[in-house]
Amino acid sequence: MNQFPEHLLSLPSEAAIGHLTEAVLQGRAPIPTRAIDRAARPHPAMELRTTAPIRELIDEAQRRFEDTPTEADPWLAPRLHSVLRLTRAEAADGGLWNHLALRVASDYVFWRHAGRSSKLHPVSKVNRSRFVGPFHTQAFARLWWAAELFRDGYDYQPVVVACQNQDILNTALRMTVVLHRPTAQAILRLVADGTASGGREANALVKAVNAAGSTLSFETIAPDAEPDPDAYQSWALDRDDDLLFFEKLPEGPDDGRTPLASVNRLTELFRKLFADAPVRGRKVIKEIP
Amino acid sequence: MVREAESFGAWLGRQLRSKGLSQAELAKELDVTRAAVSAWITGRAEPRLEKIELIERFLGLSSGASVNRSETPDSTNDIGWYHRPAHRDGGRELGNAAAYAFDSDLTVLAREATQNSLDERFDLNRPVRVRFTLHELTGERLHRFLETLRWDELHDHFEAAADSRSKTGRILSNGLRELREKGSLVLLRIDDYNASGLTGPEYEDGRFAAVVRRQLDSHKSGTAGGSFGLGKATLWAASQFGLVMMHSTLSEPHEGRRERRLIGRLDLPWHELNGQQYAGPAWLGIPDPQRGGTSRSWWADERTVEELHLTRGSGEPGTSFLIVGVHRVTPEGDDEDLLMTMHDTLVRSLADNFWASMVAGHDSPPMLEATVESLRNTQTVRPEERVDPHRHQPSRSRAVQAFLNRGTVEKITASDDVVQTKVILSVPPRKQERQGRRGAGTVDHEAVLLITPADVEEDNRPNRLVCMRGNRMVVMERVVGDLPVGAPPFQAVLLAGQAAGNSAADAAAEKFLRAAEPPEHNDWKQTEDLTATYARGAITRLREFRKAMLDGVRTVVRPSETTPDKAPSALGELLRLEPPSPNPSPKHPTIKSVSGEVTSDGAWEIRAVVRLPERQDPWIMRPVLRFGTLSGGGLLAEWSRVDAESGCEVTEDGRLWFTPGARTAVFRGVSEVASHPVTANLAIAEVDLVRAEVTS
Amino acid sequence: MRKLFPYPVLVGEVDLEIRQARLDDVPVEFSMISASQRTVALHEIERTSWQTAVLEVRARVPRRELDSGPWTNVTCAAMLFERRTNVRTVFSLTPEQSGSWVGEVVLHRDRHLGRAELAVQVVGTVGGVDGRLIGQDRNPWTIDLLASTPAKKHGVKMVWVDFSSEENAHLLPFRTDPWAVDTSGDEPTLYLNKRFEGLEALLGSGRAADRDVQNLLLSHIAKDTWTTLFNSAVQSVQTDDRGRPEWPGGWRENTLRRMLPDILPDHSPDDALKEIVTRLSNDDGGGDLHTRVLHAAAVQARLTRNLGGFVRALRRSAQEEDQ
Repeated sequence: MNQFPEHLLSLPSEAAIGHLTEAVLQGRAPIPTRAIDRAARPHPAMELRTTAPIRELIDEAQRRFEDTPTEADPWLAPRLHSVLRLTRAEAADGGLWNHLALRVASDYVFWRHAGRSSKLHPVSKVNRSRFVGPFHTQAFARLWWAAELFRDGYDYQPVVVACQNQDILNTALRMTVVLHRPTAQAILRLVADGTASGGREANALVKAVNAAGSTLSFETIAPDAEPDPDAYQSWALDRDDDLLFFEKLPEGPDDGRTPLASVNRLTELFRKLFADAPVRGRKVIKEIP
Repeated sequence: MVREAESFGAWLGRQLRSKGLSQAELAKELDVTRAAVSAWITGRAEPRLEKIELIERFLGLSSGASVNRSETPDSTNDIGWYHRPAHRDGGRELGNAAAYAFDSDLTVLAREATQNSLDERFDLNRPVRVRFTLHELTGERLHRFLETLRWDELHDHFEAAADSRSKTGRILSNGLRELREKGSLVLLRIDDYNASGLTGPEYEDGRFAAVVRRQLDSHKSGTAGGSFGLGKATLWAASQFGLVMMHSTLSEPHEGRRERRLIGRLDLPWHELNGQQYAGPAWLGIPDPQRGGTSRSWWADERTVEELHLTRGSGEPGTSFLIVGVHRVTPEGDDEDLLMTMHDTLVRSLADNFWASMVAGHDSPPMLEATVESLRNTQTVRPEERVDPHRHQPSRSRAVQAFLNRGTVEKITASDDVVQTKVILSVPPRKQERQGRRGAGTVDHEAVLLITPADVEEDNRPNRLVCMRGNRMVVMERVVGDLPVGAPPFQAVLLAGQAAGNSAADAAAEKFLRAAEPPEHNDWKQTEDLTATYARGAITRLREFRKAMLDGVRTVVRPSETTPDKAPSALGELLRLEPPSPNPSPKHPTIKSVSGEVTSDGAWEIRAVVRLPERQDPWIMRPVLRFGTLSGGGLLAEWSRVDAESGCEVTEDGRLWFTPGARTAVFRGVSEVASHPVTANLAIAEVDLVRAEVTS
Repeated sequence: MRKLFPYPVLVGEVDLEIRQARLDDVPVEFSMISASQRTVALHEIERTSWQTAVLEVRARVPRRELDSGPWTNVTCAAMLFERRTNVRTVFSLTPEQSGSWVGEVVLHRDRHLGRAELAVQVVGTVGGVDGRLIGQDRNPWTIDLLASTPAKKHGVKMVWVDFSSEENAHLLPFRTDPWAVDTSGDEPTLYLNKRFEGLEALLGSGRAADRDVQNLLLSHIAKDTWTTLFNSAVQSVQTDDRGRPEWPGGWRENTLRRMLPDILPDHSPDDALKEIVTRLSNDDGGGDLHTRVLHAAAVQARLTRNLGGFVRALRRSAQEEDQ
């Protein structure tokens, strides 16, 4: 790997995508760092962040989960969130994630998302969208957003639960139902207490909730308390004073926890939904041709 | 109500006049000199008591009548029609010339009549109240009304004048036919209260004569636009018979009296009856012996007023005009509808033209209150309805109210904010001013421009500027064009002249703009009055003012920053990215409608109608049931059974085989409960068709 | 596709009105709020550092229908949604007069970036089930934090740039082209090359004589753009766990939905999408698919009309020269 840039910058997608040739994605050709450095520029509204703590984190993840990259997700997601300390507005800018994936930590992307070779594609390659792609697919954006959407105030524990289950991470993250915090927390509670801990069960649960969301207003049944933006901001400003421990789970922004009564209410509702939902393998369902 | 203390002399003089007696006749009867009678009447002397008793007896009055100055109630028996003989030169008028200037429609009538009332407002600290009453009479009530009007005396004149060769003649014969066939007559009564009333003498200058005796006399005063000028002709034009009765309570006494001054006026075209030729106009009143039998107004008793349906609601000064046989808006059709339509037309006209005059501020009462009521044979058809400016013109009324309450803002930030700016009108000097006084030059008047976002509820035409003067009647409505795309819709109001304030410049502008109004008072433009009265340059000043008001609106309405889209807009049109509008007749089978419900065992039972485009080969489709989701494309569920109802068959593997040539088909389906991703009653069911030509 | 609710829902229209917008308690000009465009622009050049935007809203529901229907515990809420920042917040409204609800919607600067959607939802108890969605407005508002005028953006973003400038390194390979289409970002962009001589002048010309050439050129650009958009969109289509293609959402879905009816007219949009994804993954070249894509792009670009106009104009000028 070349020298890493000192700061995290923003790399526009149109500039990034041209460098992701098949050869690059297959790992046969290097990513042209000079061209990327020319196209990257500071995020217009964000304070500059040094890449050192991010690199440290990435290196540690690859060391710890050397043979089981998938298991790095629950470890990395909360810590990445805690190190970056972005606002949602900043995180919504894909340029940061592009820069992170192409320039700061492309080694992680190849390591975590190496594809399997198949008959149709004999040479394994990384999917382009792991470098430049939607928030629920891009290698780093998915972890950051999982942490942001599944944390319960300062408590990152639900994030660990969510990232341990790839079905939740892949399916639930892109659904709008989980943007309602009590809904997200209730789902994770059923995953954590064993009711829907398996991949198929979690999948069936999330789908049933998504379907019920077409006729029920979870926001009305189980109101949320609005997160405190000032608390979030002060947490974001404190980033240089906090030391990140690798063992201990960090604490997130103390911007208010999800109202317990609302989570309880939805947990019971979802438990009932799930009892009636068909789970692949649990009940036999005729496949539709 | 309370009679002013009147001198004996004035009283006596009036009694003689009303009886058609001369001072000489009285002198001879009482055996005194003419000089003595003259001295009594002029107030230089008073008669002795026995002479007074003789006078009372001679005049046919009860003893003591002269002391309390009581009147001979003008005897109802004396009332009659006086028809003006034809001109000796043989000239003929085939209708009231002034009436031709106006259409005989209710909208114009309401505007003209109310404008007159506004201009005749008496106590300027209180609103003038205008009541419109539509009243249809039939049967016995109609009969009694016509009798009081001495209809019999008129009937032959009507028949004679109903010459189908003239416009008025045709209208008249239509009216007579309708009265005969329908046996009903619609009266429109227009009352004003807190107005001057028909004051002044019988024949000489004054409000009474201006209305009753003269045409085109506007008896102008103050800010009046055309107080009783051309506008009064609309009253007569509104009647099928050209007949209007008047009852006035005077603001200043005439002949020492205020209440129940009555007169009727009829405008017929020239006609000939029994060898006599008549000019056309006729008056209902008591004969005036000093004017050769001409009818003059009379002080009526309450019963007569009642029978003419002219009783006023209070003793406040003002006038009641009764238009006899008002033009029907819809000649044929339901009479119930007729009154309703006319009622609504009046309300709309009042709201459209006078909403601003009816707006009140915290400490400024409205200038006008207006109501409309409809009756049939004294029974209510539509109860009295107060015209509420805020209901009819919400955003404009809000603008004027904010001005009155000094609650305008400099920048619009909320949907009910009102911005106030000014528009300058340079009022040129009047011609005689320039010649006469030195130094009299142009005065700058600051008209008030109000702009407010158009109310979303309002189905009004937005982006318009409404202009008005002192009485806040709408003079004109102008479209404001050349607006940037995306500018929020607005309403603008221009208060000019004395609507803006009370300074000398405001008064000068008021006069100037009044001179710039045509008889219809619906524009500010070059008029003869304007060019005759004002120095050169008046037209230019007016044109500048008209432009400045539109520019003023645009300045306020234009968004403060505009970033011009440099890319060609035609290209933007070709690259629109919103979802396509649904194709009403797609070339593939579609579900046209679907109905159904969740049964007690938790399954969806569905009936679907399919629309099929024409095709030679049969369409083969598979019905699909999905459970809707908040995000994503829905979740598949299965059918436990599918049945054809029409236009199709169901194959063994559950596909729909549509009958070739069929354009619609219906099938029914029941869902398989075990396949539901969630309990049926918790999700939306989506029914669709997918292609299934090949069995897989 | 037709939808069925398992309970009665409101048929009448639900509507939302935005009455005022304040940035850190200071109202913005009302002209930034456009009811006809259903858009609020929140970008004021001189006030870019605001933290909180508050919108005063009023919702109207069909009162008579609501009063006579089977719904109880009816509440009304405004829902603010921005996909890019994953914010979906509900603000409950207070009944003001019958049929009308008012309240405030709050946007925190840190939690929003570009365009947020604002809609109303009506919720009530039906048939013993609480919290049922019974009504929604069909036409949500757009709250645009980046726009300074409240105009709806519904097209491809178009920008004039110098393709050979260092600033736009990614356009360098195309520096001799008149235009280029980029589909990698959150919204597709059409770059028009400032350096291409005469292009800007021709497209910006207001002369009537240039009209026909202009239109032909615009159609040409548009056809290129649509073709690129389609190819990019179709490649982004993912399949679900049962192998069915999923609509990609956003501009990609809109592109597909606009063009598919002209590509496979006798297929429903779902069937057409499935057919095309299948054809593209086969090794046989997809049959006449590419021909059909060009046809659909030409329809979107109104090529027939604009080329026809150009040809007619050409013929007309030829005749004039003959005389």
